[in-house]
Amino acid sequence: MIEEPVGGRAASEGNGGVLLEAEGLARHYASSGPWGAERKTAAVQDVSLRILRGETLALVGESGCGKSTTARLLMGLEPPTSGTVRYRGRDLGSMSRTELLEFRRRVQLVFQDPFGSLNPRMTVGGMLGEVLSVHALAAGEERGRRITELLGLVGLGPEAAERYPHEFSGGQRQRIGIARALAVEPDVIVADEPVSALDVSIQAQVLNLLADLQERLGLSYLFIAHDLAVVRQVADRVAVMYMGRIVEASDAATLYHEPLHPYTRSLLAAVPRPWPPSEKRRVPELREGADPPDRSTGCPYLGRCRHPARDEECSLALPLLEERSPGRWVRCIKT
Amino acid sequence: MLSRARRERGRETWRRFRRHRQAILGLALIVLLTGSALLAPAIAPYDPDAQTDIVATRYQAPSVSHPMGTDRFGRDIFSRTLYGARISLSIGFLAILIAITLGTAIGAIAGFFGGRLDTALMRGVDLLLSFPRLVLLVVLVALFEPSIALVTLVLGLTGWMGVSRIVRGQVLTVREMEFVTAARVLGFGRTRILARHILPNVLTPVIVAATLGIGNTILAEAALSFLGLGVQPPTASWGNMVASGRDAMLDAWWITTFPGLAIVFTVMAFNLVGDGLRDALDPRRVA
Repeated sequence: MIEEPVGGRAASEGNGGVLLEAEGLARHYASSGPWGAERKTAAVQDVSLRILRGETLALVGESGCGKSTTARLLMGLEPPTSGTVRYRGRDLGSMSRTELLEFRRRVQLVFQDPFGSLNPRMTVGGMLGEVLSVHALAAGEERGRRITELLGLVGLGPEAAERYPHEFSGGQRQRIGIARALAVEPDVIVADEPVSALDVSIQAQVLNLLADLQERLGLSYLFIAHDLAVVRQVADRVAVMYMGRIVEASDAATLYHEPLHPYTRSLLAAVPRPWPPSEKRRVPELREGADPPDRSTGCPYLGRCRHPARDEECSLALPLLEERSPGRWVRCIKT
Repeated sequence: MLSRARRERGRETWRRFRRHRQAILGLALIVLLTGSALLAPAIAPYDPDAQTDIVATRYQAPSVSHPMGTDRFGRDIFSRTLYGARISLSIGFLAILIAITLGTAIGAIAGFFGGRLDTALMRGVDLLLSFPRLVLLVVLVALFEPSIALVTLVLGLTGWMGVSRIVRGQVLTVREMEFVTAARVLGFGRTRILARHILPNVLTPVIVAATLGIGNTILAEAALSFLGLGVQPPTASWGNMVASGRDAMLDAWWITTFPGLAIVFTVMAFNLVGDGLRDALDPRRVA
């Protein structure tokens, strides 16, 4: 079953603005038990989304909901079990070697862990220089100039080029990771929780940097996060994932103003508010007596759902992702 | 471009190494041994192979003119031990070079490409490791005419399995790290990722294994030469010197004792340095 891709209205009429697109994406993992009994885990199911030129699409969900797997599928780091990823209309699965190299130039990844994502044995200049040389983007004196320029773009001085990753702080390392992604002049950046490993004070700086770069370079972002607080500053549109599926998607302002899906509501309620001071509410755990959430029929959220109208009907069939109003999608039969 | 940071890291490693007293002792011994091996023609008081008046000069106990005595052909043990060091050390270094090159290549390929290739290579390693090394050495050497080149080659070919296991394990860890994913996303080829991003990050344990392996290799060479399958007389090697004094051990203890001590000290020195390096290169391990 392939559902409508989550995307702006403009996108579905005329394909000009769509850069990266996923359609009916699914990824299953087989895990074998101690006696060889095989169990299939669906990390991602029926995910369709579109990333438009110059916009930020946020993908939000708790850990284990499949958002990082979605990122890996979109980057072509692993093949989807079913569904397709398209970049400017070309299917990633059937790209030639040269097309794939071009794709690698246009779509880049920024990582969560600022410590593991930089090669500890290479200087920053060495890393950036390698990217420039592999893609034949700058050689000789031009290369040094470009490295300085890239470092400047992310707010680092030219002296950073001679240093090794361990000499930098977490926030600076994240800037280096961003500079490396920018070196190939991409138009889409998939940022997988780019600030969640950083101190709160540093988070804002990196978010501002990303916003600033978007404006200057016309980048599109797929911004992955586990809470809605971080996303609020950067997202144009938000898609909320739960157990491998998109459960709600909408433009950011509407979603924050009037969330529809009970899961989105609980996520929003968990966002701490500066004023008036209130106790931070938690996303609900599994209700006592409720069925475990790996049941094959019914709404996967039912076990944790606090919607007053939930009833037997919810356990009969998987709700479809329906478009309630233009650009406003929700997977719940009770809202 | 040797940057400040790399030099600093080297200095830090050296500082930790220096704290390791036994390792410094080992290093001093290695420097002494290597130095005297290199300078053997200048230091040695006699020609190691010269036999003059056998009846008059053979089986002489250590004295001022022969610090380690003479053997049954009247040859000076001290000079022969010095020349033997050249043979033993160069075989040790060359053989370990062959072993780590082969071990790193095979381990890296197995770990990086995985799947059936990995299974096949590692089962091959298991198979080779299931033979006692000496048996393997004896069989291989027995098939051909013994020579220094053959001994070196055979020692290298039987010594790489441990290194390949270490490298494979390290590669399996490193290839899952995010900087490797970053390299893939940036469109780097597999060869580049393996050579520039994975291998430099697995070399530390290889250096340690190589240092520890030199001792073992020298010991294995001595064993082969003792059995008459390694370096052939009259060329002096510690192993065949010990063998030649075997019959007269009770009457002329010096013939076997001095080359034997040379083997002991050399192997010990390399093991001490290896231990020191392991602790110095890995800050998480507290010695």
